[in-house]
Amino acid sequence: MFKQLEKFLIITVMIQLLILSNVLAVTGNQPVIASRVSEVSEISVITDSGYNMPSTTFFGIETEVEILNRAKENQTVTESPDCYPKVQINAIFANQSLELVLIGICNDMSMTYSYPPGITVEYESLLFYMNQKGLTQLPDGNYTLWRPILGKQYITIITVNAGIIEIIYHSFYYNRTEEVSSDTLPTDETNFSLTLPIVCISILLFASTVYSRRRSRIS
Amino acid sequence: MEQNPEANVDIIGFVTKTSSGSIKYITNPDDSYLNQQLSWGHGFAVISALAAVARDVKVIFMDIDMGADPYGFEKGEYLMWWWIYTYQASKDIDIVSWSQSTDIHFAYPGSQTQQLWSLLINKGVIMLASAGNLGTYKNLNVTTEVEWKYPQYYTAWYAIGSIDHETRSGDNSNKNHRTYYSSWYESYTSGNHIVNWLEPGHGVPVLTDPKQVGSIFKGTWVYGNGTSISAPYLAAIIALIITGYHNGIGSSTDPSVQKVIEILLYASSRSTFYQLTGYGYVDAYIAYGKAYMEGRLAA
Repeated sequence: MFKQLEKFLIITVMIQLLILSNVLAVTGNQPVIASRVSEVSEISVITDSGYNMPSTTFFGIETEVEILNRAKENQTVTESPDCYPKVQINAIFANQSLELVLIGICNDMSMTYSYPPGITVEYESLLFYMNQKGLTQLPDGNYTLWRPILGKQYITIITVNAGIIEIIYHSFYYNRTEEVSSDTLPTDETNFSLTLPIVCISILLFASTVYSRRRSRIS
Repeated sequence: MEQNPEANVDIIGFVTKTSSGSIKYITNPDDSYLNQQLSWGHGFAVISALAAVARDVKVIFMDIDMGADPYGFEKGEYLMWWWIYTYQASKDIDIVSWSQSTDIHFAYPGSQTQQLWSLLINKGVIMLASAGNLGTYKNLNVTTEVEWKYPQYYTAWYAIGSIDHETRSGDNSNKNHRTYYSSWYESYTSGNHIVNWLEPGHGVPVLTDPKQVGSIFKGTWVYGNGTSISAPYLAAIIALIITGYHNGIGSSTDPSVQKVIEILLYASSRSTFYQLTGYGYVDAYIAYGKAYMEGRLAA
């Protein structure tokens, strides 16, 4: 009788930990609006930037951006001021003397935008320079891109190592159809929503086994 | 402008830089280049404010590269300022009004661009810029710790902040006060690194772009917010000053920039400078009357 009850309780806890926590992770804690750079389509050196700045190299990056609205109705977002490009970038270089400066401009007026349910795609071009003349490619380092918005901003990471470029995109987990993707390598992102129940269940099973053995010894 | 029959402007041209690097002056509204512009909405709003005060004023748009745009000039690009200087006399360019902010120090002292600004000022052109919407000293972005202060911080430019001209509930309005988002600059007037004046910019009727991507106010009049709208308000008052001076002197002789500044100060709501508000707002009627009298005296 007690053994059956014990099994029932363990199974119930397992179901709750495995299913319920994942449901909550997907639907309960997600921001309504989220943004991500979903594609870096081109990285180029700009030879005629229009800026007469010595000792610098100009770069351009073409991006595709996704704005996700998880709600069932349009969401309005007010931006004040309304800045371009919409995508921001910063970098940590292997050569620490390098600095990156993004060229941006803000219309000094607030703007209200509307995003329909689902994903809206934008295209943004970044122009930036580095304080070294004659660079022919992105210097080694980690470059982080994001699209600021009132909500969750997922980052995209460009890693340049010995001239080899890897790009890591992070997923919205929208409708749970996408996973973290990488152009070249899998990411090391940990999925805590799955890790937690597995750890809990392991502890529970261990405790249950110890308890059962002790009871059998006593009897 | 059909929803506001009192407001009207005459957009006579659009200047851009083509993909081959040459300058293109467009006067045909059906030119295919115009269809590829991505950000008309801001220009619509700015022109609405200008048109409300200086009716029938002639406007030439300069196309600034906004990143995703396929064409346009960079902010400090010599070519753009060369064009304005070259055609200043033939197109009677008196005012340059700029309603954007950037964190890039794009015109170094002694650069060709700064030299052209000096030449334009000598020809009587006055240059205005919106003070910026970050509501901070030097238009500082407190998150990134970057100052978005150009061109406002250049000596050649006059920076215009925003004042609430009325109180509307639920919108952080405070009548006759600087708006919460209007940035400011130095506390001293030498070098002109200051916010010079405030003009209405909070809850100002502006026309929205019918084709603005993502906008929820396509082609309608809305209450716009920003120092972007304050700069063209002052530009419009300066246009009235120039007209008044012409009427007074009885010819098309323009007042010097120094004379325009004197008239603006005469018609300002403040007689002394204050760091957050400059010289206050300018009374358009007083400014026009003073300009007319100055013209009469100069005749």
